[in-house]
Amino acid sequence: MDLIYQFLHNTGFGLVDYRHLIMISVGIAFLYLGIAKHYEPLLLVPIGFGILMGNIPVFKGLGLGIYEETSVLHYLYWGVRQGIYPPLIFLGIGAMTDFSTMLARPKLMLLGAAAQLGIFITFLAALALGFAPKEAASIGIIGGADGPTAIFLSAKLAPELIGPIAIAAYSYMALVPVIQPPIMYLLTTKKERLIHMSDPRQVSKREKIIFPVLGFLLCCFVAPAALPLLGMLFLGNLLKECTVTDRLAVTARNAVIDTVTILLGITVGASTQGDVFLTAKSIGIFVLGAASFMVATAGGVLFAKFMNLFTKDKINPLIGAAGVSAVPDSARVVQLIGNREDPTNYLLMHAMAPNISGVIGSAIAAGVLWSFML
Amino acid sequence: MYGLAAINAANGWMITVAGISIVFTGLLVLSTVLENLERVLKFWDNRKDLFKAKGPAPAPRPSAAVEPTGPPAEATGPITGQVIPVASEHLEAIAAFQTLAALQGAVFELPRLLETAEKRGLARPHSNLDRCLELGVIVELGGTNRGLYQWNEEAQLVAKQPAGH
Repeated sequence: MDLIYQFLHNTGFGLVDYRHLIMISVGIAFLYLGIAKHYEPLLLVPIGFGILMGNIPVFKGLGLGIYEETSVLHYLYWGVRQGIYPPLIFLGIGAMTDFSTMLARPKLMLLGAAAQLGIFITFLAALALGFAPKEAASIGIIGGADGPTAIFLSAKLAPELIGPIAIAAYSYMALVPVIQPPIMYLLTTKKERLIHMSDPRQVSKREKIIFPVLGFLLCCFVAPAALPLLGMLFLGNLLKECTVTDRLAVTARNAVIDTVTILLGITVGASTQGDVFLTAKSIGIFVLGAASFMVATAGGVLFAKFMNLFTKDKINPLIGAAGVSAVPDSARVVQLIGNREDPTNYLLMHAMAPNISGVIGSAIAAGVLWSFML
Repeated sequence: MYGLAAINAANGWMITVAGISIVFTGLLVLSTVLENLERVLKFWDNRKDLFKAKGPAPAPRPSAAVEPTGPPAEATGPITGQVIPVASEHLEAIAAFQTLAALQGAVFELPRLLETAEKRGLARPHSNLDRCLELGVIVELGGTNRGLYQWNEEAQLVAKQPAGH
């Protein structure tokens, strides 16, 4: 009888507490959003399932939980803690991104820079709320709306916060269609939303090949700490554009990024073990993360309006919202809103320019914060 | 520590101002360089003409009467085994086609070459391929190998002088 009692006590039913149940609900919500609502399914499904895996109540000492040194999940999580997965994801992103809209109108890159305002304002807010500087920097980077960058920086500066930061970053990225539109409407007039932008020029193949080399050298000379992320991003793009490494580009944008996304999603999800994850700090991170996204969106939109004061060729300020990276979701939101105002207005290709430069900008910002915190 | 005291203690203001400035500087420098990249490449393509234009004026010809009046015979059809003048804006596209053709081997089929060019995102693949055929830089093998093509290795492409030079 004792044996049966002991067995029952060691099952999930015996070990479960309310925190596990809360996190399992969050995991199921992620799966629902990914599968039923199609919000970033490639990220939310692995993360959601990872949350379920991480919150099965297990008997400590069996080497099953992600924080136990002998567990398989712990080994897989090593790639997150050491910042290995994010650069590999950047390699894939580079190999699947066409930079031609950005090359056609480089001045739109400044919108990607303006949207990084969210990172630094949130950094200040986190400091004011009592977070340590390294934690504040890791929280601020959520405003970059770039999951791999957020994970990379928190792995370097505040490894204990990777779970909440990654979950906040990916949740808000998935919620871009909900978070951004009210801010975009609030900060623009109808007349501004109706602005049609001129077609971008044709970009030559040679420009596309030169760009990753030039971009890498310039960005990494300005912010050397962004080297792991930007190096891989530009390498991936060079593989895609140079026409002689097609096999490598195909591997990078399919096999590599898919494998790493699965591992990253599962392990980040599993790192949200209820007893470690559900703390006051996590709630603070979620609140600051939301604010960070809003400030970043506002920064991009307002800067586009500011640029319109000086430029002859007017910019539709809606595209400033795409500066928060979150490729390509925020560009899609811009297209949606612009199209709702005027069905003949196609802003997607214009929005891709700040969207992609936002990725570069957030990687530079991460590098800057990392070097300041060393 | 909380509030402004915490921000001041962590040099928050300085980090924020420096951080935003660095991000802006980085992307501003990059956008300025990219804004001028097309111009630099055009300059590079026309470097020979520019230097020629700045050099000493050519000696006057003995007589204008001996100047040929019509276009050279080779300009009217495909040219092989010699210099082919090509507008500088087309040189790059033809070079890209040459790389793709080389990847397909010595002998290739046009539909496959075109498909690869489209996949690689080359600009205006149809018209550029047509130009390659027109200029004779891609030639059909003929005979029993009709439908198969090869790159004309003897063709030497040079940038055509713009009108007025």
